[in-house]
Amino acid sequence: MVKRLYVRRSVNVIFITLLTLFLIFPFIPLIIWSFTKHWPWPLLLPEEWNISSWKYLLSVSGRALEGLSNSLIVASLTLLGNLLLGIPAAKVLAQIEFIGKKAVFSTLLAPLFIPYTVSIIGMHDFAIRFTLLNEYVSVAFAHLIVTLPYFIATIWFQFRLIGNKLQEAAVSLGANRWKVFLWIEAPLLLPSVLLGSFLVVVISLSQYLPTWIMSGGTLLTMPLIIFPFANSGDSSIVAAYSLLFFVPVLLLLMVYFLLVRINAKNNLQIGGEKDAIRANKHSN
Amino acid sequence: MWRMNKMIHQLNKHKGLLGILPALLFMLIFFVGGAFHSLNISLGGQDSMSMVVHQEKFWAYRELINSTFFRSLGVTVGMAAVVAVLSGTIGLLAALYLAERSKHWKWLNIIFQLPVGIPHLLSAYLFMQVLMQSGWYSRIAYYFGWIDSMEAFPVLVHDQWGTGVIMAYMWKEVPFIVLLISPFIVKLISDWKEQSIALGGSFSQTVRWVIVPILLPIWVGGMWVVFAFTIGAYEIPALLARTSFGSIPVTAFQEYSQFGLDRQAVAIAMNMVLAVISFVVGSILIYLQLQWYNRGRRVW
Repeated sequence: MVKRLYVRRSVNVIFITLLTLFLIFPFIPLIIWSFTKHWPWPLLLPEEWNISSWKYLLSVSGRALEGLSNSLIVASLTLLGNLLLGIPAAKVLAQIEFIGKKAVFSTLLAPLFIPYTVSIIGMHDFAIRFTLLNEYVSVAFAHLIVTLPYFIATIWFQFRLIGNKLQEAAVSLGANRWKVFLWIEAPLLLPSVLLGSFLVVVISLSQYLPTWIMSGGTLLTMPLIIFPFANSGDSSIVAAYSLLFFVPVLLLLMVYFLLVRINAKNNLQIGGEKDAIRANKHSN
Repeated sequence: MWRMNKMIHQLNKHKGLLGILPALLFMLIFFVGGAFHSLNISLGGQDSMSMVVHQEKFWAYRELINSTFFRSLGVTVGMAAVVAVLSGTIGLLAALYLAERSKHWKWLNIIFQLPVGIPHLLSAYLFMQVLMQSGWYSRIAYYFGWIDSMEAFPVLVHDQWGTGVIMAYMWKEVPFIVLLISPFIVKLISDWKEQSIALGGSFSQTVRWVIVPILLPIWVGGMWVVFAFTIGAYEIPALLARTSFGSIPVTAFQEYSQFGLDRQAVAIAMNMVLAVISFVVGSILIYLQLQWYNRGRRVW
């Protein structure tokens, strides 16, 4: 019995170790490649190091900063759209029962379950007919289709956890809809809004096909700049671009953790709120 | 006038529902509407931007009825299914393990969430770098003396079976499944562990009787998301599969971007077939889920 337990435990450890190595290993050559131009087989580490790729990247012809700023503009517009459309929708879906709710919910989550390329080709055709839309805005619309399901699902889940009791108490004390939202729901919702926003920005930054189709290949966001290089095989430059791509992601991650921490601290000062949610969760 | 009053009354009664309208309209107009507009173009309807007027309706779809396309379809759907099932299984095992252990090893959780933030394009590139015959893994193999020449390392990129493609997808999708289900597993374990210990059950019995029955819909839903994504995604097969592999999104995008507006209809038709397949697979899954609810959520 003890022996079987031991065998099973070591199988578990081997499985998780292999999986971890599988996840981490690909990063190592990427980092090495960005600092060398010449790295022949079978050397494990290159003999000469230089930063010429990074220099090229940050030069004007490297277009890295242009790509980064385009990506960030589109991501911010996408995030704005998600906040405006997603939060009210998630609130209704979590709090109100109505006929056809399942159909509405499935429509909103549909892009997760059905490939969206067809819709985006159609949207592109719409957009070139009515040339009133700015390129950034129309690409952000395409990204909004991709990201909105994730955002709504995240916020919906949090609304379900918050429940309805605190709001009812506030209404019985004479608060109106907006006051309830502002003073009760918004603070409790903040962590998941931050998580959802993080997801939205990361997903938006990484879109290749939707951006290409919607802009006709003309709006150079980071993935559109990287792709031709990745295909051509200049390993050093792609590696540098990829690492540059991680910079906004890591920064956002840090901002996210910082905001979550600040929020948690504030909540502690207000006091008791968390216990209230917890009690509520259990009674649900 | 009373009709008006009644309408206003009705409106007031359902005022809470207004919040859903913007998002719903957005999806209906752009996701559903865009798909219908595409469908219209691909049917060769009169409002296609194309200069060439095809008299025949459905010409784009008729063009797809040939053995090459069916072979490609088989490859694309099969690959997506393999990726979905493999990453679902490995992701579930990893999530269970992490939930049991994560108190000791927080950094493991962070490692498992790293790939979520990295685009598919880069995951394709990362795997190109490590799996090529001149790549990093082959250097490691040489270093340990397992192989003595570059050619002795197996062909994993641009190969016949799409090994590199599947691995690059797994690298992205296993962490996705873990991210999706681990909050539920952590909550279920904390809710049920003591009770099942009190009743004399082991951890594996808790998994089998409590966690899996509650988790199954989310887990299968997650695999469907992976399947739907993989079946329609472009970057990884474009970089890691060889041209003759015939992944449909790649072929469709070539038709769309390189051969002008006339061929746009074919590109749409190809993507439409994929969307329909994903929809049908999903409908079967939902049907099976309802059946399973009726049978009282028994797993095996």
